[in-house]
Amino acid sequence: MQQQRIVYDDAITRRFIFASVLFGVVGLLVGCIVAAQLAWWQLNFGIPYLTFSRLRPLHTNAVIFAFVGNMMFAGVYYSTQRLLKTRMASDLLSKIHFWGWQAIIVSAAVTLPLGISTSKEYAELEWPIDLAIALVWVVFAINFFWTLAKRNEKNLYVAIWFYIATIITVAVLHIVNSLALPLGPLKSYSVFSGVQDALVQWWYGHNAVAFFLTTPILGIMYYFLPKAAERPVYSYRLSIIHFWALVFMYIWAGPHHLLYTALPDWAQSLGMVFSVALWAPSWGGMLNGLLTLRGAWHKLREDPVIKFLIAGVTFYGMATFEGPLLSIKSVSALGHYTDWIIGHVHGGALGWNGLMAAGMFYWLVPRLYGTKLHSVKAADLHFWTSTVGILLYMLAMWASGINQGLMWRATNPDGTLLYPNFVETLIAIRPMYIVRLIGGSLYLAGFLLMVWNLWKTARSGQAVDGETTVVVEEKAPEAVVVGKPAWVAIVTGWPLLFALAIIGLSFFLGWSSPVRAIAIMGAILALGEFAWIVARRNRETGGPSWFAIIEGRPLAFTVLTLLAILIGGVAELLPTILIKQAVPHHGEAQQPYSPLELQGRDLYVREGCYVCHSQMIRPFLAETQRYGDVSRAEEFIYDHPFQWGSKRTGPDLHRLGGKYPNLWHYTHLMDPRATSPGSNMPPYQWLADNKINVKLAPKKLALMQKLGVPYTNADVDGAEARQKAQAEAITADLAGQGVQVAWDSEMVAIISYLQRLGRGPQDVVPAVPDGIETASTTGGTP
Amino acid sequence: MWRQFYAGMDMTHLPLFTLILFFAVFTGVTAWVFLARRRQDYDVISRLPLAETVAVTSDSRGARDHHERE
Repeated sequence: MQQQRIVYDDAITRRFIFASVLFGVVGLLVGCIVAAQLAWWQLNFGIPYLTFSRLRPLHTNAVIFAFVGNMMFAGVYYSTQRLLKTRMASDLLSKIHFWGWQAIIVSAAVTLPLGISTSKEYAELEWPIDLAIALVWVVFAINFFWTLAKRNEKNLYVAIWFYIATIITVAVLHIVNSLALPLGPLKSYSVFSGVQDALVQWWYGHNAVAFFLTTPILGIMYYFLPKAAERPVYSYRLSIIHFWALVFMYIWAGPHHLLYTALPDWAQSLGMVFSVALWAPSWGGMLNGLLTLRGAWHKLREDPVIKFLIAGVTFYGMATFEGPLLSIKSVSALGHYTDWIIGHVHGGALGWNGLMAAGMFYWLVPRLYGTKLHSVKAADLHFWTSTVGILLYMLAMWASGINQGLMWRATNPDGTLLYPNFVETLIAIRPMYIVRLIGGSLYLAGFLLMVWNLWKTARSGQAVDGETTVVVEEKAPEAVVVGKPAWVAIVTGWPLLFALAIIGLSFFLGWSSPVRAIAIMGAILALGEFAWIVARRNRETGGPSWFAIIEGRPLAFTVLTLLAILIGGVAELLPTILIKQAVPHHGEAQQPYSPLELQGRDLYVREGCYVCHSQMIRPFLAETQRYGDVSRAEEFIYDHPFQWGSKRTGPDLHRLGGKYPNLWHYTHLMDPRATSPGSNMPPYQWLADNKINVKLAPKKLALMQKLGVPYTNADVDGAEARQKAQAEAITADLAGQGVQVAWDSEMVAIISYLQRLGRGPQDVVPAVPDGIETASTTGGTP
Repeated sequence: MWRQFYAGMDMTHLPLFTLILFFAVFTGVTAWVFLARRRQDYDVISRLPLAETVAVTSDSRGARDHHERE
């Protein structure tokens, strides 16, 4: 037995805090700019790189991955070392993690405004950056699990579980959703298409919220809230239930982003059921956090740290109440595509993530610099400015969203639409856009106050690293039960055997007659009772519980967590991805895009049109009246990636093809208000000046061929000629109406794509070299 | 083989099986934690974050200056 002195690596925590605060300012500032652009479209100053549709992904990525990401890493590095009573395994890996992550953020900040984007929300970064993310994440994981292996504390506190779940789940999500074939160094196509792509994307998208914005911050809550309140968490037992229920259920919730879309109905219902059920563990966790303050509520008045943490947890409760509510299909029917969703996510991001970050920073920075907080008054002022800011923001978005949702579906007594012109519904909510900007700006002002306060605090002290002394004991023998290695003890443990027996029996319930079913249920109850007796007896004899064996073994624990998330992911994703019959392969619209349309589609992705326009008409009378026939799953089978969108700042575009002449599209893209007075869409004049890369057309077709789109080799060979022919038809049409535009301009390509939406390829059938008709040359309904 | 397995079944069966699995595990964990273990069993773990540490001044020359925290 010997004493060992351990000095923690707190420099890495200071670095991550600095980065988080810096990128927090950037993310919030870009948020204010895009909010202002929605109210005043002129604010992109005609510059493509500053246009809403390109900046919005920058805003979301900056807030999620740069601000919250860096904050999460700061909290994880600080608390993990202390909970495991050891320094991080490798300072070098910590540094590679830090600088690698910042490099990724900078490359995101450069590529997104340039329009280099996959269009998958919160996963917009192109494949080289995706690879870098995977690498840096692996570095983080190695460092974390290595630290777990050399820890001086046997028990793993619940915060560590949440970190483990975060690390493995984010890895799985990121890798699956980023699967793509590269066209070049900065462009790739998703291997999934249409419905499958949508399901995978929102499985990822929702779990980015769950496992990037929620589980790590819950780990931080379970560490920093007891620290600040100076008392242990209200119920450790509740935290165990909270953890397992959350990781098992969250993974299923993705389809609630696709309610009433062309996704199979069973998947929608499953997503809804699990999302509603999530209300319970989320609120269990929230109450566990809040009740930690029991007997110390006076701290809420005195300590700014507690104020921020408790308000953050309260916003978590609000957001996790609203989320399940919005996942109910009939509520989603009203709220989806509107600003209600924007209000909801900002309750989570500004309220839960932002306030938790502030609470953690106010607690950490004085300790990391061996001093006191510079100004408690300024922290209080920050608290009230942010709270008022969030409330203004959320109220404005609720009012705007519900208002617009109701206007979209409002009908006259004769059944026609009350507001047939989409712009009417947009003009109605404009005042709310201004209130939202005020709320967001207030929040930014409070944040800047925090930056100043933290800066003054750091300047008044000097960097200090935490230190502890541990007693290192002789290594105990590995076997937990005499004569049995630990893994055997885990696999043959009573709880597992009982659980398997009960699960096995329950499968027979569905096939048996009522009498037999009652007998089986009796047997299940008897097994449960017996399990309970065994557990009680085991505890009285003082033997280690099965859970204690798992709990002290990170590997077994990690495998169980991985199983929990994979079961949900596999059960939900595989049937849709594997079964071909899930999406019928017939009908007019299922013909591959013409080469020019494919080029135009890539421009649609580059400019981020999906940010404001959906391509998914839901099965409601008001929607079919406004936009046309309901969207069907089979219409999207060649869409790599899908472009369904998630927000309608502008109208749905799925049946846009053939609705207006080419001249209308040209005029609309050059000056949206010329065709739609009152619109807040920015003009996209650069499309008329920029040229497409004509040589890329055959390459794009060949790559699509690899992805399973039925282009023939002849299609690939004739792509350039076919592209030119279709483009010249459009330019000739425009020239006939007095508009001169080059055939290889981006404008012509994007018009060809817009005219094709909801229909077959629109170009003239070119002569095929060998005279054989192919799927891509037969054309569609004009 | 797994393709045949899926092709032969109704798509909704797989999620239903896992739903049963989920409820069984959830009920099991809840019963285990609340019935089979006492609150006191977790007291030691729940106090882990409250362990105090001291701080040392970090400086680039490697000199360290100890002082108790608060």
